[in-house]
Amino acid sequence: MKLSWRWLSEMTDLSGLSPEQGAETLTFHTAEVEGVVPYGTGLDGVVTGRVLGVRPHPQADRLRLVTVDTGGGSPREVVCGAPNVAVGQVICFAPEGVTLPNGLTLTRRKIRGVESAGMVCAEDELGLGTDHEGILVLPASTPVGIPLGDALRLPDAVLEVSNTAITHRPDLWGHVGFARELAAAVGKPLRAPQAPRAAASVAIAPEPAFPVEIRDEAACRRYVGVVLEGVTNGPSPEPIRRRLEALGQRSIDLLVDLTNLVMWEQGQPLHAFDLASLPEGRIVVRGARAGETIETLDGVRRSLEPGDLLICADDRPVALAGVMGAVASGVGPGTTAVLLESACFDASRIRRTASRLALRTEASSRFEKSLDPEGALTAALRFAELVLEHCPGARIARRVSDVYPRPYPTLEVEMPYELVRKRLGLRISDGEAKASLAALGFRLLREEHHRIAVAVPSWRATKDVSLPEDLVEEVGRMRRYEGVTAVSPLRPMAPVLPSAARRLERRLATTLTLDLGYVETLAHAFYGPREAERLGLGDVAHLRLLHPLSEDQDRLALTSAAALLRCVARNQAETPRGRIWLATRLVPPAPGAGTLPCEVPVAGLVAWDRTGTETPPGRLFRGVLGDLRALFGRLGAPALEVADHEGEALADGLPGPGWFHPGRRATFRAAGRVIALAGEVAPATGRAFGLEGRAILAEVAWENLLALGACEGPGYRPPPRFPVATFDIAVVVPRRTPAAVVARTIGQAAPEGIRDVDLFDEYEGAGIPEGTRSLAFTCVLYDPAATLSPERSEALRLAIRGALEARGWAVRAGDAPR
Amino acid sequence: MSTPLRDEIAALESAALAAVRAAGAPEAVEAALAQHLGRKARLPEILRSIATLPPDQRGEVGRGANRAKVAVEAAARERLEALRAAGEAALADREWVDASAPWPLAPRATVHPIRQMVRELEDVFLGMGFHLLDGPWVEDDRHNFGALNIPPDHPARDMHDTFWLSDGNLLRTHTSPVQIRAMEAGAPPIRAVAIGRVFRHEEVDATHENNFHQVEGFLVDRDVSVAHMVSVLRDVLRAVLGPEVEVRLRPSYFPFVEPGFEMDAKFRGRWLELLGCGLVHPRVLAAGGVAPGTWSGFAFGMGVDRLAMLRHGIEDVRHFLAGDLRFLRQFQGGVES
Repeated sequence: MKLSWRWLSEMTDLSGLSPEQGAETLTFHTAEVEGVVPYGTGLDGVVTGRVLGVRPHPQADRLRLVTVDTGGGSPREVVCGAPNVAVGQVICFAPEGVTLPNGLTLTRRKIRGVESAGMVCAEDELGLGTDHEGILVLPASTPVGIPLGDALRLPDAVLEVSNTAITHRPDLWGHVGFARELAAAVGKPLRAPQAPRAAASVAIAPEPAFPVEIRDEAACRRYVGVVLEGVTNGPSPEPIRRRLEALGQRSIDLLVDLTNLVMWEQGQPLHAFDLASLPEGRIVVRGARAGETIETLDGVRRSLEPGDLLICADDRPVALAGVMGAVASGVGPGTTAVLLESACFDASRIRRTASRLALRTEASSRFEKSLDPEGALTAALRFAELVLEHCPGARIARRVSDVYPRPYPTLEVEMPYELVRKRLGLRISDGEAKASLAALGFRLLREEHHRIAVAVPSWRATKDVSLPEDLVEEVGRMRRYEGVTAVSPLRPMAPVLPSAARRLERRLATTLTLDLGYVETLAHAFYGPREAERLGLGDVAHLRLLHPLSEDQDRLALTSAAALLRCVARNQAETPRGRIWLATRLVPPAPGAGTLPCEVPVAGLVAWDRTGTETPPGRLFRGVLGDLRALFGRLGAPALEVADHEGEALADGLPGPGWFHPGRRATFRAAGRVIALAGEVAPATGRAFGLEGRAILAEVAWENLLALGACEGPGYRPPPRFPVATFDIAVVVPRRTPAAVVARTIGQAAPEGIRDVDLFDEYEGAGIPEGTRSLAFTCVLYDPAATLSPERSEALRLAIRGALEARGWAVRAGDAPR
Repeated sequence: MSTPLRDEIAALESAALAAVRAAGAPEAVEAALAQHLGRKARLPEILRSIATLPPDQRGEVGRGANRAKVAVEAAARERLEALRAAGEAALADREWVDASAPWPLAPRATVHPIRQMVRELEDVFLGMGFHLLDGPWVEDDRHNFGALNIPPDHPARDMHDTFWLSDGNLLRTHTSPVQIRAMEAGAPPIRAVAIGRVFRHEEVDATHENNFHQVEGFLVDRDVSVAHMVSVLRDVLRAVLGPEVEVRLRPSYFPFVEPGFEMDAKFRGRWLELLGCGLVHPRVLAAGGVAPGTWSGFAFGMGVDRLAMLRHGIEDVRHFLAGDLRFLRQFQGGVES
């Protein structure tokens, strides 16, 4: 929302304030002013002048010699290239020595052989706009020889108010509302513009009102129509053009400009119909029918839906209510009579239509704020007043049409004065609170038992103010909230710990990064069809974004793999070997409608080696498996089992990864529940993501550990009281027999006598049959009750050997216990 | 005593002393000792053979041989000490390490700057007695908007460019839905913060991301005032930005608070817009099942990314999600384990 400081100054006494101070006052009382931009500065020395004569330039066809009277009694002749210069015009004259806002300093010089002492200026040269088609022409009534700034009410300053800060304030979408705020803030009266001639004229209008029928009273709370005849339309006077231009509103013609001017003044959008385009002689406000269309002023034919609101001449749509007029009914150069509409439409309806058609106009963005229906008549009369002022022949021909089925009820709010002090923590007297409310237009109804009851002014009553807390805010902001003393809240002391989930996640992050050396990154929660396809997830149902910002981000991720592989591709050129992890949530679609999906928090890990070094074989994959074991050790995962991955998913609703190397993939389970998947990236997937060498992906559903209850590890075991014995045993098994299975076989051979079984070597190659491998374990034997006897030790060794051979595996070597 | 034996002992002693004193390294001293006093050497042999000597010679030979052995051992100790002293005197040059050279060559892994900021905020709030809560990324309209006093078609929805989802839900545009979830989950008094990811349907540029992080805090209790809010927020900002930080309030509009404010903080001489805050709107309390007549509260929200950018002087918010090691590796600061 833009504000003209000059205009505000016309409505209340701001004489002591600079525009910057005014902006600061508004920022701390009302709404943030984001900037103050000077407008129409640098016009010093430019004066108004009258064109006395125009004659051809002797040397140039397109230049002319113009004689200008600037009131000093000695007309000057200057060279001018503008096509529109004509005798009698009042123009803007920059004499020799003046520096224009565009930086040009005028000097006496010859142009094609003719001396020129000054310049007749165009809009752009004065920094007032972009027009360079011709010179800027002022109203003929403008005095000659006065500073241009005085003629145009310049310089001005434009205050740019944050729109989000006034979303809730329908009254602040015009200058009057802000003038009221400033008046209250500086303690001066508000001088809102009036419409005395129009009001008097309406009262004596001879003809009955133009017929208006509202068919949808919920959508149109009030419709005011004023008919003006004998108008002459044309370009607006310069001051009006300047004022609109300063606010960023393009000047069209007088009638359109006046509707806009009143909108910027009152905050009430208006629409002027050419009365000649309404032969039916009746306005109907109705909902659109399915299939109906309207061609709006911007030349676009728009399909309507029930719910859109139309202004019709009888049945013929002439405007899309609250949004934009129809192309055939607007005012134009030939207009001599207008029907001015000043209406109050339902905020939601206008907002829905404007959003659906992507047609956000100055009008719709005001209506959607829930405008004050009481303001509709004021605005209509202000328009009439301005037309009467600027069109000498204009008259109000008919009485005002004012259909207002259910006048807005007075809204009363009662507040204990104590609430102000209690909520703000500020010492504000009852009297100060009452005065602040009065200054903002709240009418005192009652004051008793330390309570105040006020009538909310209509311009605040549509949505904004309805509760005692709303009044607290009014009082507080008039104080600028200054003097609030910080007071610590009192609460009984109690220890606060992060939740178990939060603690687990904190420990996971610390372990991965600080212990295991994975750099933490973050990624968008999205990926697109291309990456889904590369992972073989092209056909898997994802939660989709309805309006993606880019094609590569159109769905919620079902795996962290895409983000991690993207990350490797990005870094591998500079960092040949690296490890990265990220925390995210995977969001599979909910199984049923009307429920929220079950989000799976995961840690995704990736390790890569661009060289793909394979000594020892599977080095990188084993490294990640080791990291995961270490991680789960730190997280206290109970009873960890690691086995070949066989396509299973990390959690319900997620797809099983199809991007793992078929011989290097693993599933981690704790107490039977999947908690992590890990695998080397399959060559085809790696190629699809542009990877060189090898990369290992892992994904950890750490929250599953919580579901298992204990996260405190396998539990404490006292150190052995008696000496233990260790012995090593090597066993030859079919190649893909898991070491975990062999270790379990050993452990189960004599559960009470074997404390630990640890793999220490794997061998494949010469000396053992093809298709087999040798696994060597260290077994820790003990007796909980006594020093292990040689006999007992030997018995355990035989039991282990027997158990292994019973599985059909050959025991290669079994050292004697030591 | 026979002269030959005495002379031999003297010769052995001077040879051993010479060898020990000539040794240029501790190992050479040890070798000389082994050669002259070791099991197979002559001097120990003489000592062992004393019993075979005539009785009148035993005493003198024994004393002489022992004296020679002790003298050699003393000389060896002396030599070792001298060598060690000389060696240590040369340490500066011999064992010099270039402290300016980075080692290990690969830097330590780093915690993401956002997590560092989150952890810091969590610890500040935990210390002030706030519970840490979290809510879902995918939210329904009621929790993200309706219950927060943003009904359908409310213009305030424009402030929240929303990612709507194919299932009719949405990605939360702020962490405020956690207020509602907290009130639904338990009766007041409540002191809680929710820190997490939020989503906005916005074109991404140097100051806007479509995935970013917010910290939401709220306190619901009896007779909560703006003064309490200022106290808590000022202390939080001082804990995070420094003890000299000053704060001020400006009126602002957020539908879920009444009155609503922006809080500015003066940081390094500049006033920064840092957070939105206010007293919880009575309608929001009611939507959470909390009686507005009995309870009141304050709530606030702040951008975590923004704080991290301020902290480190990061110029472009897009770095956070880019996964670029050259960015990530710079944040060697960390979190307490």
